[in-house]
Amino acid sequence: MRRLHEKTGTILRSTLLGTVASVMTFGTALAEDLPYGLKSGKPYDGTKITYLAPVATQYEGHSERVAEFTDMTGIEVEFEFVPFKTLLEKILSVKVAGDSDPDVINYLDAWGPALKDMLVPLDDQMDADGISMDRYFAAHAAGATYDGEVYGMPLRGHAQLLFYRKDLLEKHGLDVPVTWDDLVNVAAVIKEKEGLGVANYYSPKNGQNIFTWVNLLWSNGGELIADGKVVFNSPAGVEALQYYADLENKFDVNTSGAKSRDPYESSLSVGAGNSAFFMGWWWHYGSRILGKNTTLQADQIGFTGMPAYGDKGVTFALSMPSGINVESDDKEAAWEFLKWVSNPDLEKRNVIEKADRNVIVALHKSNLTDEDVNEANRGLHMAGAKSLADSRIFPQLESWPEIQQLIANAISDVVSNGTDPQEALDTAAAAAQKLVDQK
Amino acid sequence: MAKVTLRNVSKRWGAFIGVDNQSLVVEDKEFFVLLGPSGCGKTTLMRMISGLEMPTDGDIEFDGQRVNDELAKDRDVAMVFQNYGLYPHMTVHGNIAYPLKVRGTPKGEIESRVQEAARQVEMLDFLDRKPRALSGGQRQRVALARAIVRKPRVFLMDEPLSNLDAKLRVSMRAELKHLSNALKITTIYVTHDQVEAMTLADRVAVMKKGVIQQLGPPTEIFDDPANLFVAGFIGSPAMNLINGSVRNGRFITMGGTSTVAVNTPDRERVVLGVRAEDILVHEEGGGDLNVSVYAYENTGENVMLTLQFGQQRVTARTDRGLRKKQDEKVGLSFNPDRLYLFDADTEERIRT
Amino acid sequence: MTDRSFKYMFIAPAFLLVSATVLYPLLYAIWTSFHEWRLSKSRAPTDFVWFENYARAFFDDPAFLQSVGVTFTFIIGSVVSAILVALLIALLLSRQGKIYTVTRTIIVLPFAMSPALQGTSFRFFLNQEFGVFDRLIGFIFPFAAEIDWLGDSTWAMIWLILTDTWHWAPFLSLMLIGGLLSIPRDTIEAASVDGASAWMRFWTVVLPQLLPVLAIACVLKTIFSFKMFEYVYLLTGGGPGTSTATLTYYAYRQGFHAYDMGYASAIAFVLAILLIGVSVVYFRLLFPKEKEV
Repeated sequence: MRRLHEKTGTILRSTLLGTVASVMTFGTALAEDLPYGLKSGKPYDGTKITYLAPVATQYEGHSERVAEFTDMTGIEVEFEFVPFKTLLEKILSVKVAGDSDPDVINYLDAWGPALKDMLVPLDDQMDADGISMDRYFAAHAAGATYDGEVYGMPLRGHAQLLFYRKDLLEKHGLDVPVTWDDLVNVAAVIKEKEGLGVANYYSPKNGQNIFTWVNLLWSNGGELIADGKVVFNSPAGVEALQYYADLENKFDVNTSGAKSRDPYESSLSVGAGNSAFFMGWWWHYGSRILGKNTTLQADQIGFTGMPAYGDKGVTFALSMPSGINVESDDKEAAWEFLKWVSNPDLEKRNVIEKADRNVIVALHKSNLTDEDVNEANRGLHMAGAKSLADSRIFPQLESWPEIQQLIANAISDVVSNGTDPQEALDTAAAAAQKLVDQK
Repeated sequence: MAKVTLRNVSKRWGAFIGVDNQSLVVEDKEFFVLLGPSGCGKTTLMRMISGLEMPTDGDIEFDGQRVNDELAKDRDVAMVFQNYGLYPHMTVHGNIAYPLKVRGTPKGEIESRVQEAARQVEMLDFLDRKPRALSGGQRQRVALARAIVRKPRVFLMDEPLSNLDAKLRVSMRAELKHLSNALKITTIYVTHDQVEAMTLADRVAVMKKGVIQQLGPPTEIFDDPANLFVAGFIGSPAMNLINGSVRNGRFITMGGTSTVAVNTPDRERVVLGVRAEDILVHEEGGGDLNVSVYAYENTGENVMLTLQFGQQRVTARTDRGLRKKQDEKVGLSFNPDRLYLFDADTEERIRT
Repeated sequence: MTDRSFKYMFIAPAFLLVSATVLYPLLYAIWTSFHEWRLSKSRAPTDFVWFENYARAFFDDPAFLQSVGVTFTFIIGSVVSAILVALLIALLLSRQGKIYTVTRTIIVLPFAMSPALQGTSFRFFLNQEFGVFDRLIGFIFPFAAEIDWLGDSTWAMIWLILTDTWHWAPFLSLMLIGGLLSIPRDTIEAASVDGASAWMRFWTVVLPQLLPVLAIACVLKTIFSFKMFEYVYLLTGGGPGTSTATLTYYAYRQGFHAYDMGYASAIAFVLAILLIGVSVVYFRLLFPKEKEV
């Protein structure tokens, strides 16, 4: 109890310091010295830009603090939030229509190759303002870079983690799993003793069931696509899929309903006390696993890196960069906004001063390893940093989203219908190769 | 063939009373007419006999067997509906054959009986048509054929002629009469048309507000009405009804005119009924009363004179040769043997 | 002004409206389907490719042919299911009386519910952990308690059909109630008196007279079944595997995830052709030309 008190005290103190610091920044702003590379003298005073972003807590955090940006630059920002599910359609409609609004667009890294035509390369501006992609983890930086050019600032990005019921593992004297085999063994015990399984998800909805399998593939030395050749149906890929399906059909460690489950329902299952394990994006920790409706206490949930299949785990990372619409009438003002919204201080405040929303997402290396950030989030970001250090992204192909869906369908088909993994992956690979070969 | 008996039958929907505790026997092979204005309960009574409506109270018997719990399909009755109720998607043949088909009659027998029924209603040439390609009278015949194609225990006819034009109605009426005489099947016939009732019925039940007012052969109903309602309902034109009182053995109108001798003790609030054909018209100065011609109508077969005395008007049916002008003075007398007196309050007949 | 030009003047606004809202998009889709149009590369159609997109669909894309099969399975299942349930509801509610009027008003609510909301709710209802349907079915049929409804290809299709039925049956039942109430009552009563049982009355008197309305309900439902997208998208995501991926869902994926608008348009147009074909067959079957005697 006392420790908790101390912790709260620290958070309050750091919050206070942050606020004082920003107030002081305003003070010095008059002296023509704006932070984050922002241009002083309000050259874009009165400019109004729009920002298209999905509905997520951290963007709400940006929206809430954007007055600070307007005070400094005179640029007004209008936030246009759309649900993530319809974000791609919205962006494509902007592309087809050639609209100059929105000026700044937040998109998923996997869509980048198909969208880069409508985005402004940022390298020159970054050089001029001294911004480097080095401040991000390699996977996140790579997600915003195509053919060596940077098209966006990563604003939302995730690390994969294994979440587990710490209290139950301790109760039965079990070690935190490091490899997949460990996980199977530990999960089997927990399922037998407590009736809670692994919240795996195999539904092909939105291609998400590939997120876990790709860890197994990469860990097993496999690749998705190499040198323009589709190779996910390699022996390594087939073995990974067989193992992934075995979790459900042979080892029987999953919480029932996995064949139709999606990641959202999976993390909710842990939050509801129905599952003991969940592998997925860290953001689930804040709003799903320890969401508003859960009865779980924070210290009942542990987290660690994704299990390894061979010697070493390789995880998958994704990010959502924000880029500037090539048709925008106010590209300079938009760049000012990008600089501000991607600055590490704003991100840090977002994950520490949570107000009534539980913002998890941070991308700056400096923030993920920051003591205050980790203290405010029970060390989640340090775990995330470890996961991201060995992480990769999907192949940067225009047709990747559809290839992802083909694999997702194959996974679902194997798990639900008992199709042979080799056969399912071969079929998917043949279709995928056609997509890759398209000019 | 069946005798239909109703014992204390009532039908109520909530507070509304359709038929109020009525008992009735329809003899075997009898042509029985239920007569009354719309809403009097006559159709409801018939629908209870058919099984389409269940009585709230009382029993219905066919030949002494209680049939209350039998569904319409099991009562072996045939019914002709006001709108004919023909199956629009079937041909005339299909319509007539339907009652036999649903009873699983052998094909050959169906064929011969359909032919026979169609012949009886003179519809043999129309067997392939759909009902919508037929005239009203033809549809009526098909409905009849469908009813007579099998030999039901009871025929039920719900205003079968009311949708036909006046001329067709008269000829169909005769055909119905002919057919019913030939078939000799108990028939219950509902109508609001007293001419149909008079011409077709062996016996008539006159109904009002769910209660049978009078039951008897047509002549008895016509000549000896039990109350003011029956007297006013039967006959065309309607019986002349004059309000007044009886004093010193004479009927005095409300206006104080002494009219005719009646063999009744003095009493107030009396209605005198006299049919148009029982009013005799004389030249001016003749008869019991001096009156003036209010209207002169020549129907061809009769001359109808509306006569006025005081505030009172009466209609007389006279010889078609009579010629009178409006406002002309004539004499009037009543046929003393055909006068009906009713109590103005109870509306019951005052018999002497 | 002549009478003739006058008459065209009157229909001009309607013609323009239909052209702008129906004809133009349709023609544009056909035009697109004969072109190469990759959203990733161009914001407008590029090369004219003749029937390449169509050839690809029919000769070089097993997934397309499979989605045709899925679509027809869904159409047959959903039309039969929705019409049967609607007929059942209609037979129960096609009576006069205040309680029936009120019930008829209430049961149309599912149709007023947005498919998006309904799809999301049904997915949740069928969830093995939290779902009320899953619990209820498990309680009534204990042997079914372990079924992962949307994780099994057959059940996923059945639930897709049932979800769709839940949405459509009430509305279709209103159509059928209208049809039933307009059947002359005396034809049904005549059949009773003629000796037909309730079952026979239904088959030989009620159903034949309901047929025109039933046919329109079937056509309407078939058209909407062809266009099934929302529940696939929200309930199953086309899974398990691709066992519930309908044509519209497949076209959507090709257009917005594979960014191939030319191909998506070709699929959509094949869908339109199938739709027109099926409608024509329907009307031929249900409204054969009657010879007037």
